[in-house]
Amino acid sequence: MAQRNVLCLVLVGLVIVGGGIGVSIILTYNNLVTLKVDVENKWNAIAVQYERKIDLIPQLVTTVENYTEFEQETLALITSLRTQWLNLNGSPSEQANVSSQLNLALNTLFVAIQENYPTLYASTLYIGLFDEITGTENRITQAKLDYNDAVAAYNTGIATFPGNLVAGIFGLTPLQFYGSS
Amino acid sequence: MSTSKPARVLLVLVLACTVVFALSGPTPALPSYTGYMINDWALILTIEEDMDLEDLCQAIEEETTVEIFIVTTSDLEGYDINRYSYLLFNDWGIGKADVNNGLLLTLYYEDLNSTHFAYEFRIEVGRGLEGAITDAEAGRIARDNVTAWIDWGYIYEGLYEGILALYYEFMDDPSVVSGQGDPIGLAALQAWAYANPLIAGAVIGVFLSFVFSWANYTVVRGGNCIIPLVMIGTLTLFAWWLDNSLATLFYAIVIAFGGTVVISGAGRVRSGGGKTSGGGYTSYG
Repeated sequence: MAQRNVLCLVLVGLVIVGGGIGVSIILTYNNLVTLKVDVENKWNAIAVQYERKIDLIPQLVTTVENYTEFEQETLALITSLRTQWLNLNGSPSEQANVSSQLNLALNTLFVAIQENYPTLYASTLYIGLFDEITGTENRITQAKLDYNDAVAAYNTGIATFPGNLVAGIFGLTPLQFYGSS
Repeated sequence: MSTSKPARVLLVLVLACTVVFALSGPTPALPSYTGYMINDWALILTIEEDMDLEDLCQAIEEETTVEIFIVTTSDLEGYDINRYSYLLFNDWGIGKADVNNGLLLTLYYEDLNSTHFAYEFRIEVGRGLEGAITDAEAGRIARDNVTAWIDWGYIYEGLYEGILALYYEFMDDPSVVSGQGDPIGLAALQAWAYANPLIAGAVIGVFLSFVFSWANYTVVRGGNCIIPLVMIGTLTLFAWWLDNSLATLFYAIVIAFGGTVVISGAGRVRSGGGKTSGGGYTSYG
């Protein structure tokens, strides 16, 4: 009789522990997936802000064109980079690459304008446009930092217990931070 | 030594835990929400100027539902001013949630010596206001109306004129007006108590002191002390429920014990939960 009781207790104990493990696996997995969706969401936010920047470029080019006789090369480069961007179909690494080239070209243009075209540099239109571009840069920066925060949360989730076990079972791998190759 | 061995072990454990917690260190934490639209943490406004700006911002909020918050600080918690404004804006939820019509004016102020100061100033524009106040317009207002004053040390004038200039940009724009009505029923009571914690605290405090003496009476003279004790508990929970914080309860208890409350306890506002995506303009002094 006593033996059966012990067996019963052990069985009940196993069921409770097993149920607990099952529930904790489900909760952890759901939590990890939520974190991953958040990361994807933040990634899309970066893409949206990049698009905003690309949309500003035609406006910049038309404003600057009439004033700057000697910067046609830079303007042509900026326009071609914009076209390249539009043909990328959203591949992240390519986007980052074109974007950094674009930043270099824009910087060249801004410095040239500041040094050689005082009328343009002082014009309200150009100042406004410059503010828009700076503002867009800030949005991109904030979106990138948000993305990295989300990646950090997700990576911590799959590196710490019990997330590491769950990640192993379901094949979740760490994600890369923005700005590291 | 008079302390027993278990006591010493416990002491060592507590000390060890303290050291571990101290070493693990807090992550840079943002200042928590204060309930006031003007937060002069750098202490550069006089009380009159502070109250004047508070009145202006609350009047604008009442008329257009647009929430304008001002933060002056000498400590950016390790962030740059752009990140600081962005995080603070989203953490506090400035602006109404349905239209994201918030504005945050951040002034980072640093005393260099007795005569000179350095500052950075940022206008952070909520998502819903980006149409009414573009980055270009934020930049123009920051340069012409705000920093033109601050450069000469006129902080209050700059902020006041900046708020007005921003107000002229969105005052005729129907898209920035929130559709959320005023709270009704119990929510209205909670909103009122949040705005006037001192009055709510006084009312509860009067009841509390009455019930407290009742409880005393039953203890001394004999009788059922359950009812007054339950009423004390109910009043305490009610005070807590009233504004989701302990402020009202604190005022109530202080008043019940006959204390005088001299801290600012009226005219608080709740932010509406708006978001920014980083629009606006930064002036680096």
